[in-house]
Amino acid sequence: MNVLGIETSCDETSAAVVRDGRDVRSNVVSSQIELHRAHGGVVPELAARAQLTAIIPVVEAALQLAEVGLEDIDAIAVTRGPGLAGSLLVGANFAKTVAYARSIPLVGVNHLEAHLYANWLSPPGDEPGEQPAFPMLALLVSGGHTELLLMTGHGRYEQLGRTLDDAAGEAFDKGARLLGLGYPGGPAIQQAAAGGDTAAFALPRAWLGDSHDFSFSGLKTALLREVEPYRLPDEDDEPEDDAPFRKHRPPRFAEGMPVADLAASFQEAIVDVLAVKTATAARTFETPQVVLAGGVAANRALRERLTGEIEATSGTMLRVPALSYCTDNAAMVAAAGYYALRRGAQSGWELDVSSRLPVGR
Amino acid sequence: MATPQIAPPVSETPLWLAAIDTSSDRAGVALYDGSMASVIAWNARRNHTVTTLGQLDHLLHLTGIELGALRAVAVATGPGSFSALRVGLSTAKGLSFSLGIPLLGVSTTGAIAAQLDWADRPVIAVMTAGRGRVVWSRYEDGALIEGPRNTTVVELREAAGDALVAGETDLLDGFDAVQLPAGGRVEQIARLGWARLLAGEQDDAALLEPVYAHGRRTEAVPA
Ligand SMILES: [Zn+2]
Repeated sequence: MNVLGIETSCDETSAAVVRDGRDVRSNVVSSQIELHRAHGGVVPELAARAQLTAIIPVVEAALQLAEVGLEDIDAIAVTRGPGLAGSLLVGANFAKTVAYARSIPLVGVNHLEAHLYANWLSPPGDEPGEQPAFPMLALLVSGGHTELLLMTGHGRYEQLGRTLDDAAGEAFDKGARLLGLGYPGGPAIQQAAAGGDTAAFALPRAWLGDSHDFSFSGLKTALLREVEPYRLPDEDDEPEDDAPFRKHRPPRFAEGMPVADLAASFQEAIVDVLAVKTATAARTFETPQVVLAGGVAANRALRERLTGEIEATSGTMLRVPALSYCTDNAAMVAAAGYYALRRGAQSGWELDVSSRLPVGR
Repeated sequence: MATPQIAPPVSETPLWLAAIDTSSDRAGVALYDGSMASVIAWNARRNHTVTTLGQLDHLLHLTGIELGALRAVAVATGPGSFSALRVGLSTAKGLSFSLGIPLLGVSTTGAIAAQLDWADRPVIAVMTAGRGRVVWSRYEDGALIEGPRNTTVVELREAAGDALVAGETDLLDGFDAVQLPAGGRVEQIARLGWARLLAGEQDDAALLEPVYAHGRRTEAVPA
């Protein structure tokens, strides 16, 4: 069964063809990073505009790469939330109309659940490996999400914890902005932190007792306090341009600010909390498998730290999907859609999008 | 604007154009074959994603027209609510892509002005833009003279002069505004799209996007 997956929840437009839920025939991702860089973050209206002009070329490319036509597609899976409403609706309306015109099943997919299904995917040319084992503990970390999820079977999820304020990726973005390091923040902080002392600044960790929730807003405030003494006033002689969307102006700092130490300490504070709390949850729920998913999975310090913590925990092993399936992509949506269709799920033409959608709904 | 003179299709096979208008809460779908339009107009109340494809399906059923008989799709490109417009455009792009038929964008204010082709003076076609602002264009003898402009209602009042004002006139107390029938706008989207189709025109389905008529920066994203 060939499922066409479509993902437009934020600032990537993606389409993929996946056979039988695991075999990736194609996975095309068109990123808008360059578009949003000048604004220091994702501008929802600009993201929605770019989705609308990317959707046909991206779907066309996915079909072409998979060497199939629309007539070879048996069903369409599309992200219905959570995400930016204006971006989501482009994929949802396009997907439902194509499914309608082709008379094939349509299934709306929860983006958070789709991230977990990245673990079922095998890259083009590879034989699908061993099936992931249930129950599975997942740490999902990206610009939009920080969640600890327990997956006990297909379509069966439990949210153990989530961030109470900023997502981990959002914390990296805000930290990078405070340090004048640019967008996206994760790679910028990682690069700036190289050679820095992770213990140079005692930045706070929000452990939140026995809870599996996270909080990163205090960390951002603490970083601001360290940076403040070096901050120079903004130059306000620059004329305001008339463009409809505000340009981002990086802050200016006095010389001698220990950027590497600040970035390293900041990164360590985030990674520390994520790794330790995930390992604790793995022990509590005795899960044979722990998975790391989401764009922040690309962070080297997090991968290393989590590997160490999980190796020290007996009876469990860490599984990290290929990086291209960690960041937002449509192959994971197609995989989630395939298993949902097998359980009898199907969406009607009234399928709606939802900017806030908890896992399991 | 004079109704375009359209020759009947030469082809023996039935030729149908589907039109979609999600420029605002006043949404519509239409089917047109060059003679008589079938129209559904409804208050989408920001639920365009939930309702639009279902209404098109309903209209196809009502008229007994097969999806395979569609030869083109016309879509309103605004001005209007950016998000609502993108629902119609995504739907129209889906039809164009999956059926392999031409896509034709049609101006929403153009479709308002086309309903006033009897007017003996300039026509100003207005769409609301939220927060007390309006987007409007001026037409004379069916031709676009000015716009689209995003202004306050006061600025529109100053610019209007003796023009006939029509469209989303809810905000416009004190104007001698013309009331237009529900569904009139989408019918004109269909007719104007049809005229473009017979003239051999079509838009690039991948690149077609709404008219993004901005006011000042703070008004950049109409509700
Ligand atoms: Zn994501």
